Amino acid sequence: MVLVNLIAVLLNMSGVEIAARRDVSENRELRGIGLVNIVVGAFGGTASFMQGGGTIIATRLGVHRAGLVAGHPAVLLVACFLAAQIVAVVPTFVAAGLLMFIGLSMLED
Amino acid sequence: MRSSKAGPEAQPGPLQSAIFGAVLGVDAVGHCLALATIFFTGALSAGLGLATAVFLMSSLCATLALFAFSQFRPALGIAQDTSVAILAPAVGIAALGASGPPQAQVATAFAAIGISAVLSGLAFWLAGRLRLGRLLRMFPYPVAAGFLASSGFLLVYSAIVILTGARSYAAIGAAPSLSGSCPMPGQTAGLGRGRGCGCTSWPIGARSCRWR
Repeated sequence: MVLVNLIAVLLNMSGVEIAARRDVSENRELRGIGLVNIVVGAFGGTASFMQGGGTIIATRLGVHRAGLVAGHPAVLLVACFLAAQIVAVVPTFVAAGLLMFIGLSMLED
Repeated sequence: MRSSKAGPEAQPGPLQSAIFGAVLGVDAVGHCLALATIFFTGALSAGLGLATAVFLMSSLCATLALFAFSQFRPALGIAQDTSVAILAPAVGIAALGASGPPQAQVATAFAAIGISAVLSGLAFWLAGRLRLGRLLRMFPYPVAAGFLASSGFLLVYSAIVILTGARSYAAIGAAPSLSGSCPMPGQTAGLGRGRGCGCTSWPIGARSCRWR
């Protein structure tokens, strides 16, 4: 599982590097995201690292960093507090459909 | 004749970027809900709301950390789906093997997920510290793609399991025994070979006998 995560984080990083046309220090990125996961895991969270697709789209569109910082975390934070209500209103087939979409996307990639 | 705007002058402003971020945030909410569903289904469904919140918080922490230190500008973080398919059966078995009320089982599941994240974090940190990043990139692409594709297949399979309700990852640990015929031995053996790694194919193959 750790190996799969390691492969995934490096593949995501490579993808974003190609899209952004710039080289980064993968060792620095790995150290940083490693510390984040140690902290998150201590609170029962799951492994989290760079989102390839979202980061590539944001890079390609040249979005304003401050705006993105305001919008994305705000939605996540609000959703955190409303998670129970969201789960209550979202039918199981929708969650399973999203899961199927994620799996098919990985197969397609 | 009007000329269309293109190039750097057409870049979105702060408000448009915030809306774009919010849209990606909504996408992340669905993503986290889907991932939480794979862990917390069946007997563990009492923890689904809390799991979604914790996964969202994990994504939030990763995003904020990437904003702070990443060399990519901007970079977004999210709870990862690649290892979920491998982790879910282990979490199900650990949680349903725990004695006590359902809350204890949910807490055990969170502990198992947390430990896996800590181990992954340690591996990332060590790989970075020992400067193995460049070396790890030499991992053959077909093998890496095979790992990820098989994870995708397992996610699709899990979604079908959740939709049909016949079998669930959470029910794997509740099965009374491994006796009896395995429902899909060829499929799971092939899956194990597809992963190209004996250490992952063994638990998948063994647990598949409980998918009844």
